[in-house]
Amino acid sequence: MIFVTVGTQLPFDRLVRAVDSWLLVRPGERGFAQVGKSELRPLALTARPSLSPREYEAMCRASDLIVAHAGIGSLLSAIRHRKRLIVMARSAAHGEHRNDHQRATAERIRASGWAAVAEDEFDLRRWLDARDSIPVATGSGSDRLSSLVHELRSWIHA
Amino acid sequence: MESTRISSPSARRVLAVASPGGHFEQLQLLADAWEGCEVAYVSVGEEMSELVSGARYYSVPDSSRHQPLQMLRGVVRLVAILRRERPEIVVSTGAAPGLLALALGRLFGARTAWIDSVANVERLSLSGRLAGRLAHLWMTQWEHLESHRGPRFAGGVL
Repeated sequence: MIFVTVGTQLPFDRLVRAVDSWLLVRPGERGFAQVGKSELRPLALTARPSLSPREYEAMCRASDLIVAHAGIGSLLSAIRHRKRLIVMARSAAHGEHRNDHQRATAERIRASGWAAVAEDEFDLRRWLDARDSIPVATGSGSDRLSSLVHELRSWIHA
Repeated sequence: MESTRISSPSARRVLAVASPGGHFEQLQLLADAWEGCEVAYVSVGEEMSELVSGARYYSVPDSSRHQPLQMLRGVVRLVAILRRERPEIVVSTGAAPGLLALALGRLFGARTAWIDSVANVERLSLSGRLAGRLAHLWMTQWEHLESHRGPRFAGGVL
């Protein structure tokens, strides 16, 4: 099952439509999408504006591939659930966000190579075709996290 | 009279605050930093309590500088939470409600920590910059954003 998530706030129809059109000609594949406040009515994807935290966790767990905007919540949940991940950044030019900070996030991911980064909807469909080559999402490494936790812990107990 | 909380006398009281989604997801990843402390969580929306089973949870109204009335409601609610919890430490990963909690936490004598969101790759958010004036511990999650007069870097969740 492919789980698509673009957060719960702004729509990101370019991403949802790309996955939907890819699924439409692949009747063997199933997909579920959290689409935010979108008017789009996908044909192949089962779509909901937002999921409760518990439902969201269940969808992450049940999926074998996550397709997400470059929002931190989505990225971290793919890492936590050790799922393969395709990321596409929202673009301010397309009216998908106030600014292009998601592009900066996507660039960081591309540089460390722990998830597939799609430039646009065409690239996204290419990654869907090549999904078996995508590694399980790991993030940049656990030592970054543990050193921050250690710093914070020492400060709390100082 | 004091309520009957079960905790060791030495356990630090920590109030951990973050908006739903990516901010909260980051807060949870840092939870090892306050393991063994007496922690209460604060976010926006009752359903977020699903994510912190076992810990006390409080919901506050969402607030931004564009909604003064909502912010006032947030202040009233946070003051009530601070009076009840009497935290020694207030820690936040953002966004606006976290900043508010840091400001009010200081008035209640707490030590405060701001861990700027890992989403801020190119520069700190406005909340993150304002937090520099309020937080005893001011951290960025990106090494290139560390500076002498700015936040410190010790690691990150991504």
